[in-house]
Amino acid sequence: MQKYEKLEKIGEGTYGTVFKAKNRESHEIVALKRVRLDDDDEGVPSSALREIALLKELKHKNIVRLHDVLHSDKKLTLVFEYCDQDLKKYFDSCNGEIDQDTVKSFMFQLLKGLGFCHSHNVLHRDLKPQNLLINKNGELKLADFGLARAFGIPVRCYSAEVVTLWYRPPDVLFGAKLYSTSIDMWSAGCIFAELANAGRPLFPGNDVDDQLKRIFKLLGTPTDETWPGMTQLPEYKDKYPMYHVTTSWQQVVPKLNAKGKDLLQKLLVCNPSHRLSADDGMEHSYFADLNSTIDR
Amino acid sequence: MRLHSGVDNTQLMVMLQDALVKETQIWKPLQYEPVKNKDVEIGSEERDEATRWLGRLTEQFHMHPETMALAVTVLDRFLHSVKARPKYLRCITLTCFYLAAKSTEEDEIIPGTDELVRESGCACSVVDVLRMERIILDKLSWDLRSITSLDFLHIFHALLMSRCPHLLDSMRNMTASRQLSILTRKLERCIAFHEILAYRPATVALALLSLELELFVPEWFRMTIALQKTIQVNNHDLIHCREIMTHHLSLYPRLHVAYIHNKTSKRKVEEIEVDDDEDIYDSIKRLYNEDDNSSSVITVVSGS
Repeated sequence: MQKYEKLEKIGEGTYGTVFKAKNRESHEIVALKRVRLDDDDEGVPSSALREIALLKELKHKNIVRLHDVLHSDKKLTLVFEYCDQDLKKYFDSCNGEIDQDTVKSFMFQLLKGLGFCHSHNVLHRDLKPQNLLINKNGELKLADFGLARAFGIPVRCYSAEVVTLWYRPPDVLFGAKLYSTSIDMWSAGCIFAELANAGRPLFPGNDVDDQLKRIFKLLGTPTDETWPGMTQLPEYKDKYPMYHVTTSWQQVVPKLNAKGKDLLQKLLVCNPSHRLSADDGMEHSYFADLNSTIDR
Repeated sequence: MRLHSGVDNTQLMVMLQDALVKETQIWKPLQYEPVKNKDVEIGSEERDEATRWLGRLTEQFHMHPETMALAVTVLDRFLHSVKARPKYLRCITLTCFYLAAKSTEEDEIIPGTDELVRESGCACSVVDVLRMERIILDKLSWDLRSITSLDFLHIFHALLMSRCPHLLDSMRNMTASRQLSILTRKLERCIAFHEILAYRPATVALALLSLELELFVPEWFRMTIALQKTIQVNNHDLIHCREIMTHHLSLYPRLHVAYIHNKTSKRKVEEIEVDDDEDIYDSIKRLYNEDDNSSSVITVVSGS
């Protein structure tokens, strides 16, 4: 690995260690994701293969850029553009305070990156603050495509074992295997609320049951009328109390303005077919006064 | 008609344009020749034997047709980038299958290396497959992106159904999903033949669709020309590709399905059960939102 000088360890991804490093020739700072290859009987991890194939296609300023793939006998190294921190660390540095213009800018960039993925037939399937990178120019970039997959025209059954619990939509919590871009839109909604509250997670459930209860307490328990087909989902259980909406959105996201609350409610819809798309989200009036050239 | 997956006509055209761009970027015509010394070189016959095995592996491990299509692409690219010895061909083929599965299937479907080697009946070992995996990835610069004729078939068929939603209404034995399932079976057979590699994936898909349309629509020619203009393939290539496919498909009479108009008498028809169509049929059925449980009976006109 002569081309890059390792500087420091940044963190652990779903499959491998991430380092900050410097290109010895250009002095460009990059992030190296190292995957050990010698101690695995299953060979090259499928997540690494998919991440490489997908990121080679997805070139967009709100998606982390894969510069290079290097490999030796024992390890595989993915060379990414460097970002200063992820959204989780950004929250930690906020001390509970966040500028609502920043919230708007980050949310818009999240939808923009996501819209690009979806229009190129890619589902991210693991959106959460740790996987959103922020650079010092205030640019937000989608990262960690280890669970992502391309989707085609015929609707296939996919894995229900996707998305970190707190950001997993109710249909997937009920074991739905037929899902599409709406899976990421729920996560985007959860992240939006978390942004507005400067890093307080919206639904920090302990397990699948607790997760669903938290969701239904806020949104009301869905019925066959509001969500036809719900009762047919593989893991559907009839055991959840009939919660009625008692909490106001003002209590949930006190600092978010009315238009923001409206956008949030259109993302956090239990019935996946009624969830807003990324493209429609960007057109929402909440973003009407977003004027900075960086953001757009 | 809005398809179940929410893809409308405009989106389909965008997908088609994206696919065509990708095709010009990464697709190259390839060629195999018969070889004299089968101990030293891999020729067209050996290659076709390998791709037919890929088809059987796909079925055996319950993988999607996309996995077979990708595995064939990876195999051909690799065999054209190295001079491999025939004795390694089985291991190479199995590894291409493994790489394609890892790329397109969900983790819970992908077999472990150990299971893959054991169940496939390949004489190679786990260590052989893992070593081969690295060799193939190195040779292909870790880039397994592809655009296959199956991708184009999906787009063309969805476009056809979106523009002519009543095309199959007068057919007694055909639905959109069943038709796509049949086309997929046929395409799987066709891509196992090396002659197809001379033609663009878009041409292969259109040739197949056009042959199918000719079976039941008088306007098949007009429909073919409309798509032909969109993908810009010349008559010569399209006609030749159709001829080659007609020849290869004639080797699989069981895949031939007669389209029966509602008024056709039942007497000439003989019905056989085909179970292995179920898997593909199921997922495709969801595409077209067909909830009815129509049986998986393939109808064959006797004597054809």
